[in-house]
Amino acid sequence: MIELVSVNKIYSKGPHQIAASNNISCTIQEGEFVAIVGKSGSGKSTLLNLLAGLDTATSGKILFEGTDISSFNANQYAQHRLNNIGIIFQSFNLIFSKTALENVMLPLIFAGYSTAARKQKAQQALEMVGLGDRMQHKANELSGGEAQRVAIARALVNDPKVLLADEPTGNLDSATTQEILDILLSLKTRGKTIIMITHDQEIAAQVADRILTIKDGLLSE
Amino acid sequence: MARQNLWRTRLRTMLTLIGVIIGIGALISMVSFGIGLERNITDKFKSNDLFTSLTISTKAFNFKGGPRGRNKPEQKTESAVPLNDSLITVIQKRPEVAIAYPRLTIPVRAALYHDTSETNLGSLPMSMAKYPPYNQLYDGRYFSSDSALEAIVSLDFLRQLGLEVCTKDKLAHYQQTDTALTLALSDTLIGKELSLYSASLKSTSPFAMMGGIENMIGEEETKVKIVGILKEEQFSGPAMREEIILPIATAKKMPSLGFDRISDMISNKNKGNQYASIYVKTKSMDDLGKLKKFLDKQKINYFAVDDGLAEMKKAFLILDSVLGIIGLISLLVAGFGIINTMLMSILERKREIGIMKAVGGKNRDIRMIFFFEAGFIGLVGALGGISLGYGLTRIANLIVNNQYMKNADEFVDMFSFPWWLIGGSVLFSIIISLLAGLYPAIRASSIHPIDALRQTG
Ligand SMILES: Nc1ncnc2c1ncn2[C@@H]1O[C@H](COP(=O)(O)OP(=O)(O)OP(=O)(O)O)[C@@H](O)[C@H]1O
Ligand SMILES: [Mg+2]
Repeated sequence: MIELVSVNKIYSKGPHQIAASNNISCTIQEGEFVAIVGKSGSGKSTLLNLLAGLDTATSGKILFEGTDISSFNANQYAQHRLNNIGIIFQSFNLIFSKTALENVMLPLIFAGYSTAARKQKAQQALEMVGLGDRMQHKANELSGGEAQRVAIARALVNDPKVLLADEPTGNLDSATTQEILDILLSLKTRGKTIIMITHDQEIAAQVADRILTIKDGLLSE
Repeated sequence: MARQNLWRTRLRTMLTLIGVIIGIGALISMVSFGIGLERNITDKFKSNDLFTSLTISTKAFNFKGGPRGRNKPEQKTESAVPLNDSLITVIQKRPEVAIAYPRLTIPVRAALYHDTSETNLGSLPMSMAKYPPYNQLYDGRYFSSDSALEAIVSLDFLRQLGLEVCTKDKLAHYQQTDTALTLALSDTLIGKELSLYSASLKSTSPFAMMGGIENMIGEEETKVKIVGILKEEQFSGPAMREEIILPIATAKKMPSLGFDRISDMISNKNKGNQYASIYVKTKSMDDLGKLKKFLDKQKINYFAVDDGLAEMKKAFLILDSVLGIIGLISLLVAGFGIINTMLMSILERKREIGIMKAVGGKNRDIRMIFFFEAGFIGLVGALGGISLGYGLTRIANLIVNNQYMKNADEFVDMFSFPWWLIGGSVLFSIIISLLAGLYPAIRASSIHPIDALRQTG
């Protein structure tokens, strides 16, 4: 489903060059739950951003269902994210001033759904993550676990094939972490392809079909 | 969604909005003052015949090329066509002409009760009844026929006789003001008899002439009934200089020593058929120009006062532009306020922009959101500004009418709000706001999503 061929991402700061992704090649199958582990600064987020099209590779190819997305422009990437990819962040990235429901409805605005359809789909997504009773709460009134569940609902609402999660449990205690992991596992059973970043080997071992390790931009199984 | 984003930076948005409101308020009250002034003045002109009438005369008037010397002096002398009834008939038949009639001006001594006054007497045909100011008399009615023994008099004439006239409902107001004149209710004057004494030739025989002027000229009395009282006019046309007006046939029958009869007597030509002048009223201002062309071709002398109109229109255009530019500048200042507010809000909402991009928002979507916000500020600002401008002008009207125009008969609205001004300022405000939002919107949409998401907030 996703194939990386000799992907490099090089940041240059004056004379210094940092290879955040160093000649990465790998393949991710449809329906797989892949965990990427590595220390801080090893290049995990960089890799995820390349997959999400939030950033572009310095060189190499990224194939999504056979299409090379590495040469996409900003609009094509946006469309790609809208249709195919849901992203979950460590810091939730909700719009605080809005309700849970409005946050989940946001992608559907860009997808061009009517208000009624947006509402209905967003409600369904929120119920799926167990937040049917928190829909009208403002995002800044939610607990960390609730906020991350809203973020998952938002990532799912337009029915993407792939979920990218960047340390989704990094800000949560162990009980809530388990709740979130359970939700992700249930999504895997529904056929979603999940790529999750974590620095916690245990978590990776618990949920992932496959663990990829990254160190100084170099990826290994 | 955009609306809610706006409330997030509520205070700054409110201040920006106030800027737009003041800008539009200034623009609309300035321009409405200009338009109102123009309307009030042109209405005054339209309510009399200044710009739809001219006077045909035997001799050329020397007003053209007057003190400012803008027009070349005309080389006209005697009119090529005699001013007689057949000329009136020709002119009357022209499509642009509403009425044409001879001007008869007779000096008389008028007596009402025990007071007398020397004045000029004019005459009008029945057909003038439907034109201002005769269709809106202060009190009373127009003549019943061209030969009725009736008169319409002016308020000024009655003042010369020591009478300050008022209607019943205005009585209380007048009783408070100090005046040396006797207060008289207008309806008590209607129907009163007016005696007109005009000079007449007793005899033109050489013997009488030798006996001295007293033997030639006598005074004859004509009794008429006052049927109407003319309103006061700030700008009066040529036909309204007379203070007493009689029906035309009645005036023709009056014994007089007017210019036309003396000229009849001396020149002895076109006897009884030549008038000193003919008054012509056209159907519209445009028609006046057409008629002038016709008269020029026929080498007929005339005098019209509409030449000042074009100058006046130009002056109003300049006034409107100056007032408009002042309003425009305040709106432009408000436009910079919008740019500032939106750039600030982009900084504050960088994270939000990043989120929108991360969930699939295209650059165009983000531009539209900021654009919409700018347009929303423009629309609300315009509506607020129109209300503000309208409110201010109402207050200005009240103050001016109460303080400075206490004695005016009618409430004067100094401002005018035509629909094009209201619609135009809404449109204008939105356009300015959208233009102001253009750069911030492009800036917002070109923020890199990763940079935007890195911001903690
Ligand atoms: N915009 C940038 N400019 C320069 N260097 C960058 C930029 N973004 C990331 N880097 C560098 O690239 C390397 C990889 O960073 P990345 O964010 O991918 O690490 P990470 O594995 O996600 O770390 P963490 O676990 O702390 O989130 C780091 O050394 C970082 O300093
Ligand atoms: Mg990271």
